[in-house]
Amino acid sequence: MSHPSPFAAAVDLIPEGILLLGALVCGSLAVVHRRVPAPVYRGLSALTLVAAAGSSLVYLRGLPTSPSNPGYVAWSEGLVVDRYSIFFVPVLCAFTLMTVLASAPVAQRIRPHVGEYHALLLTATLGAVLLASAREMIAFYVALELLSISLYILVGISKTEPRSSEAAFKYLVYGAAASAVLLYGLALLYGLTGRTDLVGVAHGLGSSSAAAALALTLVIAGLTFKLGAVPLHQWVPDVYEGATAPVAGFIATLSKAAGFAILLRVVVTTFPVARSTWLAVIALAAALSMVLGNVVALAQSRMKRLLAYSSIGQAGFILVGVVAYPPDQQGVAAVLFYLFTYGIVVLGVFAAVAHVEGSGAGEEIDDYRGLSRRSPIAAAALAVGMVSLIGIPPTIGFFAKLFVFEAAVQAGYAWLVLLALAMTVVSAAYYLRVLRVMYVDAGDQDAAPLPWPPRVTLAAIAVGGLAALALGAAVQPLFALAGGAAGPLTVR
Amino acid sequence: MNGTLAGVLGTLILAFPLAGCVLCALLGPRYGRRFVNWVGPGVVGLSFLVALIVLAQVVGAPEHSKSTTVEIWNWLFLGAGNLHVGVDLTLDPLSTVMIMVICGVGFLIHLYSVGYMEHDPGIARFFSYMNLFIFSMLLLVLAADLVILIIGWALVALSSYLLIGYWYERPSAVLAARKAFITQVIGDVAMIIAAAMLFTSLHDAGGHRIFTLSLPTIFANASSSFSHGGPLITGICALLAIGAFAKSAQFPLHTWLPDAMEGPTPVSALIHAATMVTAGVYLIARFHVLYDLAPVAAGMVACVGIGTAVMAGVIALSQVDIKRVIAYSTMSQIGLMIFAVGIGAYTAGMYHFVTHALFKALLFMAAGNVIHALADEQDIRLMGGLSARMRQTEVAFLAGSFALAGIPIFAGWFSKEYLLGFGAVSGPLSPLLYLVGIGVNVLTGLYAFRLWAIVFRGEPQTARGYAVHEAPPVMLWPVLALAGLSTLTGLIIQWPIQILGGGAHLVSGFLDPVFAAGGHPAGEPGAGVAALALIAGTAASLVGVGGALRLWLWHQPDAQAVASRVPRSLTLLSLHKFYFDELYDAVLVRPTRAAAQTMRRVVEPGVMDGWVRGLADVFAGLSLDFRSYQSGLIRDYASYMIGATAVGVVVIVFVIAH
Repeated sequence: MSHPSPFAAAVDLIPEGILLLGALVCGSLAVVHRRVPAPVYRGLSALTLVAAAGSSLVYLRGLPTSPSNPGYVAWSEGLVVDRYSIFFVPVLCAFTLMTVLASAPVAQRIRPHVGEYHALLLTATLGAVLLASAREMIAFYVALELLSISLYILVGISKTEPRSSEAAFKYLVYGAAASAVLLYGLALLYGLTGRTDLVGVAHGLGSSSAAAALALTLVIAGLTFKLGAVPLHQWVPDVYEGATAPVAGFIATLSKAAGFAILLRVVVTTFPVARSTWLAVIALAAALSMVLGNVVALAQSRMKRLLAYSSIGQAGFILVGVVAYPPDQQGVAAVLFYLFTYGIVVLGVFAAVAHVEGSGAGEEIDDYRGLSRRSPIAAAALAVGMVSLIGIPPTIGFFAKLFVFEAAVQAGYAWLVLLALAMTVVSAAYYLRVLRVMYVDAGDQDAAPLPWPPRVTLAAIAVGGLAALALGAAVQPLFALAGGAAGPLTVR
Repeated sequence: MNGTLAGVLGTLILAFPLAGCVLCALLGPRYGRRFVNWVGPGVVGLSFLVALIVLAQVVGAPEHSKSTTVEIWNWLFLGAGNLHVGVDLTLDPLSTVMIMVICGVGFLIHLYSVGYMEHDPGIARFFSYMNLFIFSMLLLVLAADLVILIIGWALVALSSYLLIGYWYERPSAVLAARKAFITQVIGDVAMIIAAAMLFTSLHDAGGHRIFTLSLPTIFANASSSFSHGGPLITGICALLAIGAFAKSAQFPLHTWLPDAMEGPTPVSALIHAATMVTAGVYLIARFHVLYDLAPVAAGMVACVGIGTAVMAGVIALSQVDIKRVIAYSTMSQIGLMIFAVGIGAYTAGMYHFVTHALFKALLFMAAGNVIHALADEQDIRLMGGLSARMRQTEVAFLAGSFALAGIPIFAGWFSKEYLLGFGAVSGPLSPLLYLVGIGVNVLTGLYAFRLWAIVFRGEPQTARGYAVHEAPPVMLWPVLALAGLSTLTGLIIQWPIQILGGGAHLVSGFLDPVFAAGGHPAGEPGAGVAALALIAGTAASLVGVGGALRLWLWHQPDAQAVASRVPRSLTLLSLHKFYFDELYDAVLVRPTRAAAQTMRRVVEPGVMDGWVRGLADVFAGLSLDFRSYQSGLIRDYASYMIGATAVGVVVIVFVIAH
């Protein structure tokens, strides 16, 4: 059902409204009063995020569940509220909340702009949430740019640091080029069909054609920029390195999750006719991302660059789940499960990295020598997180990989899963190297212990570590949630 | 019992020790000794209260619904939902008996630990491990799903490892812990192979495969999946038995148990006497449906059990470490239980498990009092004459020894003679097996009272021996409580029933329905046989006890003199524990180590390193090659992006899409 009046339409957008309001409050406060301490912004952001996440759950009541009409259309038919989009609201808000908590150790570096920093985190979240519910190309593009532009500024927010500015500039130029590729694809689709809504485009495309394949390729290629997957991945290491650790974690989780959200919706909704084509494109991107990310990570000497290549590799693993889309939405459920669990664990890792860097211990992997002694809690959280990223049972990462690989095998992509397994082995080499450095290498015996992390950051580190360890006990309910969220993307 | 209630009770009984483990580990160091002294034993006490409710429910349930299986946590679906793994628990008479003993005896031992570990700085860690053990053991006995059972099985081994190596600054403790764990892993591997074989060979009556790991379903379909006595089921049962032997310290996987005495004495009482080491008995009893289908495997189990019983009894005669003597006695008694479940006398095996848990925990804790009083002295040659100053401990120790030796009216007498009675009618080999059992009785009497006579009677052998004090109340009361139970349990259970008639008593009346499903292959001995067996067995026990008193109390003849007349090879065999440690060292450890050395020196550099390092180099080289494309220059990135997209478009539009 759609609502006639603008006011009634706004009722469908309560979480988005709350996020916008929070962003506006933080932003205006920063303008009006320069000396508001960081904890105030942290509290405001946390409140906004919790309220937005909570309010999204209200929509679950009375949501249509029939396969033909899985949700209702909102905001001039630009957005859709269904289980899929509702799943993403709390997940994305949780990612942002962890980022907010993890930002305490780098408060010094962002100090003049701490208000804007939090406002931008919230606008980026707003963009991501809108992206997850976009059903039309204009809304899709606007949401994407809202997310991207917020991130460009966040990367460059420590503007006195040349590295930060360089990273922001590269990210901006690269992002603009990627947007152009995506826009070409979208424009072609509009030109072919005269429609902008994804379902309408699908009807308009009719049978498969070379033009449709071209448009499809451009759209997917443009989106790999958001995923941080091959072929548009080259910004990832430079940007992660230049950004603060919490922002890097934010890009690795929120931006990636939003990218996957829209990618799945676009390929499933718009290109049923060209399914074999997009499956091939994505399988190729998955294979290349896994190989490139995991192999190049081996040679990295800086922690955030290592995590950057790890994130490229992980994007590849998640794409394996996307190709498992048919015959049922098992693959989609596996992707959603992977995104959520991976995000929480990775944000815990980045929180620990933020703590280590914020304490002035350095950014090289070699600077983590003897961390088990200097900061046992950070070392333990990093260790657990790395083990989960490899996917060793009983950590949650094991189940995430298990579900994705299982779905891919059932969909007939055994070769891709074999490659993924091989690359998992390769990934163990660099993840375990971090563990060795922290626990086995002696390092400087006299190195002073790091200070205890700020309490909020400790919470983020602990949540990440505990999630990696303990979520394995709750696999089934979580996977059932993901399965429910995958419902609206049923094969038609 | 209805499912909801069973679910709540099962959850509670598991949740208390788990919460205790976490609380002691996280908050123990901060809140200190008082806190863990309350939490550690307290949670086990709470579980025991829940176990009592379970007992009342199971006893009160009508005959046909004694067994309730309930899923308390739906863990995961695999294979598109075909295969389901859940935390399923079974509350039935068998598991009820187990949880009563685990929580009841466990609670007393936890209380005792408060006193025994009074001066130990790591008390929070200790109680955390102990609670973890209780949780694991409860999970193992309650599990109604093969995966959960194996998880409990492995967690039990883990907590045993942690507790044997509790004093990790002692190299001997670390080595003992490692030995125990490696032996357990051998058993675990056998178990997992057995589980996989079970899983892959399960069919329903119509010949369709069944994808399940749920034990009740497995048992219900056992007869349609396996032919009676077929090689497959025999193999599965043999593998399961290897798991049971590792856990229950049976030949040939028994050598870890004496070394496990390196752990604190409460650990020996709880894990290496009362509960964990009897898990093998429980396992075979729980899988009785399968063993009833595999008589050859069951026969092997029985022979291993009775053989271990004799061997351990002989070794116990010559050991000089007080805890090791009791450890070999444990091995011997568990041998009898394994023998019982091997011949199909499941109820008798479980009955002996109950009484043994009581009197063996008692013996260990009384021995702990002695060790504590003598400042950690464990060599019995340096003890003696303790009875004057440790009267109550001695009385308790005597009650345990009477029960162990099988003196009439003590608990052990009822269960052991009941068990041996089944041995007399078990099958073609029964006369022989029964005679061996009688021999075990003699041995038991000998080593039990040798220990008592040397430790408590005679004169103190050291100055310290004259200055000992009785144990503090917190260590004495649990011991005395167990002494009371070891004395009276048999009477309470069997008093109203005609003992000689061999008829149903409370234990068999309670447990028999569980084992009825498989057809209860062990026939009850008739009244005449039972009476004869009872008299012969009791006489044998008395002979053993009398011999011990003559040799070690009255010294006429003196034990040394007798030993010199026995062939030297026999005494050496006993003293060196049948040379198993030496044998394994020569046959397994050394060759393995030599092979490993050879591998490292020859195979590794020549064969393995070549390709492993080559592969690593390839990846490292690739990594560097790829990395060089990451120039950091945005114009390179842009041209790469456009190039890659263009190539992609060409490939897709002109190749894939056509």
